[in-house]
Amino acid sequence: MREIITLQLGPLSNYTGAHFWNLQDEALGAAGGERLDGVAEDVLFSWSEDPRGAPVYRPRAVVVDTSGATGGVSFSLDAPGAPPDASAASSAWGGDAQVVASGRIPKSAFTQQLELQSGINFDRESAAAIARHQAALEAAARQLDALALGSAPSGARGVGVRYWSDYLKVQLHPRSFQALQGAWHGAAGLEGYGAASSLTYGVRPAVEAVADAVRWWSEGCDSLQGVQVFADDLTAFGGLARSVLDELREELPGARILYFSLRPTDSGGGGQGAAAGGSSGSSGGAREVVSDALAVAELSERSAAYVPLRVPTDAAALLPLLRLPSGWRGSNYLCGALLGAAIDTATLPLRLGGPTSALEGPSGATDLHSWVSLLSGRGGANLAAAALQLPVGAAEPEDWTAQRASDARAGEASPAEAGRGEAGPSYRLSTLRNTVVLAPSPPALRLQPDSSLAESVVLRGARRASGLPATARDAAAALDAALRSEPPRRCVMHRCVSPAAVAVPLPFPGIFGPAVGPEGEVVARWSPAAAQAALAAGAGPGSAAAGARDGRHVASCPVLTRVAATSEFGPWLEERARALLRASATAGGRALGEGWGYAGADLEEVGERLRRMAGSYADGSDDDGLDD
Amino acid sequence: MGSVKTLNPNAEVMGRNAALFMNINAAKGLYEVMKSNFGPKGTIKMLVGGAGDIKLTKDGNVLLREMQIQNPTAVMIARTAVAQDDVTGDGTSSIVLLIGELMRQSERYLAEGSHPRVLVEGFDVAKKALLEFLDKFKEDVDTGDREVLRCVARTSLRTKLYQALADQLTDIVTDAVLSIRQPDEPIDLYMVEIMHMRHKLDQDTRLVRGLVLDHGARHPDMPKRLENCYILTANISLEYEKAEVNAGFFYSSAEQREKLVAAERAYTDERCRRVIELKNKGIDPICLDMLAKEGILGLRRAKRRNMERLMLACGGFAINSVEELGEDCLGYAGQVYEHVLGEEKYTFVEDVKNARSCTILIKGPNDHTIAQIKDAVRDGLRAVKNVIDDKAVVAGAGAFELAAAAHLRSEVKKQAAGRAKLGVEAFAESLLGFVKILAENSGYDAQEALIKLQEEAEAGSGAPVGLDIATGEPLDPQTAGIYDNYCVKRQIILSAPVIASQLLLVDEVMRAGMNMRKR
Ligand SMILES: Nc1ncnc2c1ncn2[C@@H]1O[C@H](COP(=O)(O)OP(=O)(O)O)[C@@H](O)[C@H]1O
Ligand SMILES: [Mg+2]
Repeated sequence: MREIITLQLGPLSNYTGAHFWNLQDEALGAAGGERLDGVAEDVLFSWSEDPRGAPVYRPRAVVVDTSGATGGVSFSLDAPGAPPDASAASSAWGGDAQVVASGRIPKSAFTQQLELQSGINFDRESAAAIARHQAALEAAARQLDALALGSAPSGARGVGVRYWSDYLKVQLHPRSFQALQGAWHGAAGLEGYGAASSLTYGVRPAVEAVADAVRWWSEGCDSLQGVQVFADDLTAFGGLARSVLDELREELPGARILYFSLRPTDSGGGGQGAAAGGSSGSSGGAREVVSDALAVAELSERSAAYVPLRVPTDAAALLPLLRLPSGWRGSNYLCGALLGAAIDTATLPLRLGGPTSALEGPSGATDLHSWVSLLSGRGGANLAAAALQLPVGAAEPEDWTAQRASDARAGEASPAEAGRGEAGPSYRLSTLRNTVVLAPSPPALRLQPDSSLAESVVLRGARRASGLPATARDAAAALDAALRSEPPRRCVMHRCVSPAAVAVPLPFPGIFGPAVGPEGEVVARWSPAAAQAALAAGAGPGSAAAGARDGRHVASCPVLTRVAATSEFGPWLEERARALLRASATAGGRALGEGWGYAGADLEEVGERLRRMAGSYADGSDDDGLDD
Repeated sequence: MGSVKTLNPNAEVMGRNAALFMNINAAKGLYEVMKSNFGPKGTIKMLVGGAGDIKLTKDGNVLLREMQIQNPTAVMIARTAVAQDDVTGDGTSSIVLLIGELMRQSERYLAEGSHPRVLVEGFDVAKKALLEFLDKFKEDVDTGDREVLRCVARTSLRTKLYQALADQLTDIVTDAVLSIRQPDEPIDLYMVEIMHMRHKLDQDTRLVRGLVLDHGARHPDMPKRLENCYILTANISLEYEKAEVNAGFFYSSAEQREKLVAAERAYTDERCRRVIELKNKGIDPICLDMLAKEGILGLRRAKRRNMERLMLACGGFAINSVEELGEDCLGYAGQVYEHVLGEEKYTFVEDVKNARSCTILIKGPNDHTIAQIKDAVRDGLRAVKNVIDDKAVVAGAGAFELAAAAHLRSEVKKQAAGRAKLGVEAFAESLLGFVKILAENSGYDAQEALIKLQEEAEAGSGAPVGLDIATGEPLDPQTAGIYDNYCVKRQIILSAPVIASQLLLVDEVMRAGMNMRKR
């Protein structure tokens, strides 16, 4: 019931999506048969039975990437067996055959282990054997990090993440994956929103295939909530997304679109797993500006809510308990982990409604339609931004008064300063401190409480200062206390509190610092200085601390997200309109636009729309003028 | 122009000779790749990707799609082939081969000191002459003649599938087009749905006069088989939707919420009670239940295009509101039944009165065989449609190319001015390349076969002479029933020399690119 279909377009989206699905899958597994965290399992997954009657679940997802983007993994029903031989090539051709093989790409150790173990009946295995399997899987998962976390010489064979399929642990349905024809993994040419227009085969075949796959999934839905989209919209996948959404409007009239625009942190590219190659100097600048403007204007128009997401370059400072390795900004695997975790928690309210434990269930369940109506309640602009706290600070409902003064200050201080916090056990539950706003700049969105127009806060698995889990009631009280201690929001709030923490999947990168306990609790005497010291001590591989707390020691973790419609989008949109104007005044910018099929007048119109959207955020404006 | 767009403005400006050399090599490279697939005796290519995934093809267009082409010249040639496929649905290998041949021939003359301009002039003369010659050479046909349509379909299919399968599909493809054909209306091939089933044993592709949908009923009690049924296509949601106005976040009281929910539910139920069948919107479980109780088979979320097809196959029209419901909007089908295959369900709507839409149901053991058959069927459908649009066919098996080359040499070359003769000669030689490749791919000595054919043509009565791929001897394509599409040949003659000329005049193309940018 209340199904959601997920549409992923582009490499970063698929890296993020892989983490997102791993998180869903882990939560399913953590529940161990009977699930009590209140999540309805059939919202995201489609369930069926295999021929032996065992349950099979598949993400209701349509995943688009370049040809070759899944490396050695194929989702086709034709399990690739022995190297194909020409004589048996086809039952449909009698003549000669010539085999042209590109060479098998080895699967990651992790995927290989998963496949190996999928045949094992764990009920019949001895405890020792099970432990052995687990250890092998863990070792393979650790290899995924090796490159990203710098503990292996780069270039070492079989280590590090090369493809998102290296760590995806959910099996995709054969209908789910679509390769964009004429676009190749690792090849240049996809940079920029309109780049798909230069693909040899155009986007039409891909658009139809995607729309048909979405339609096929929708047929299995009793009561479709809507479609959530992850898209790399500063690349060719942005233009593709626009065409796909147009097609869906026809094919699935009335389906609501919740759109996450995923932006890379390092736009220069070149990083491991990053999208197609680097940009060439100045045209990169104009390209990014025009892409950004087009994406925001055209895709927000085609969705119920448009949420631009990007891990900011200073995320490491804002999430002081994490240990992000130096090259994280260029890694889709690492950025995707944070983005995936944020989307997972932010959208939890849309998945609630399943059975809960007798004790206390989560509160704040809602559906996609109501949720996006809340967020776009004002004017016609439908932009929202998200912030993430990972892990969540200690939740103490009682002593909020003591914190009020300092938090009030923190709310006004810059997020970076706020992150540094006060002396004492200051890593407390807060919706402002130690959070990172995952929005693309410039300008930086701060998500100040007093600019919020509507907000949805989700808190999962909060823990007390003692390290013990908080009950749902206590967690809710602590969240309320935190909110009361902060500068007031004068807006509609949606609050969702679940006592169940986020189960951290094995292939999630080992980014937790030593101050985070195995269940995501913050170690008792945490202070910024102590955290730094612990980090320094535990940093070197092979040290005793690293063994115990190597960043992968966290099995579950409390997470908090805020998603807000904020008037800060006013200046943000204006900035985009201005930048577009500047870019389209240059010959390069105009040529770029024309190459993508946008004449000067079209770009002007886009700028105009951005300004109108910006205007709808201005104070006192109750008419958005956005009707088209 | 595509050619201009493909030029990278940041590319270093190469010396003309270097650029020309690069263009010739790129064209020759693609030529070498394509050469072996050409014709009914060509080699099929099995492409194996990094994940062990297989793609089988004999089709130039599909092959190009699966190759990672980065060289800008090769990209430009590939785009021409794509355009060829878009416009005509066939001849993609031919166009790549002709461009390759023209460049190969040019290379010889250039080495002897000719200027590219001169060759290009000759190409242009030859192109104009060939278009005229083609119009004389083509045979006008009566498009009501099913046999002619079959010949063209068979010729096309036999270049993609083994003979028995090709022959079986020949009738299917011909009948599919004939059944959607309406007097004085353009043929809309979208009205032929191509559906596939993966089936290890049953590999019988067939024509369904009606529609096959890739989904079934979503209620266990719905009938699995119905005979003599009414079909309703409805564009109405039978899903319980929160009325938008009331979709606010908080209901002021539980009681109020209940009331609202009940009211909305009642509205949906009411709609459901009055509606009966197939539709592209959703149907929720309560409505499914109501439909099942009435013995109605309800399908939800049909493809938009399938809604159109259904109306054309069964009659009736789609309704957008319950108020429109009446007997006249209903269509009819002799039988509607469900077919379950593994996890997949299919619904067949068959025995319709006068189907203006039909389905070709392809069965194959694995994805790559299905894809291969699907590509062939698409080509076959296009070939039949082209005959009807062209009202003409062209003798195949190399007959046109042979005759055209002779015409260029005997007539056109004489009229061409001075050194432009070289270009005409190069073009003639290039056309003969097709005959040679056909012979070579069939296992005969190319030169020997060509000479035999030329002698036969010179001695003969003027009837077209083609190559018998079974013997390497001359044959009469008319008696053998080997026919190609007129529009395919025409499009090849129109675009191949243009591209070849652009590749030869590489420095001028570059300048044109610059001008474009400044505009
Ligand atoms: N039975 C046949 N004998 C000889 N030539 C044939 C026969 N069937 C088709 N051909 C020739 O094969 C050519 C088409 O080959 P094909 O592989 O389909 O290439 P293309 O991609 O250019 O259409 C046509 O020139 C046609 O005349
Ligand atoms: Mg052909």
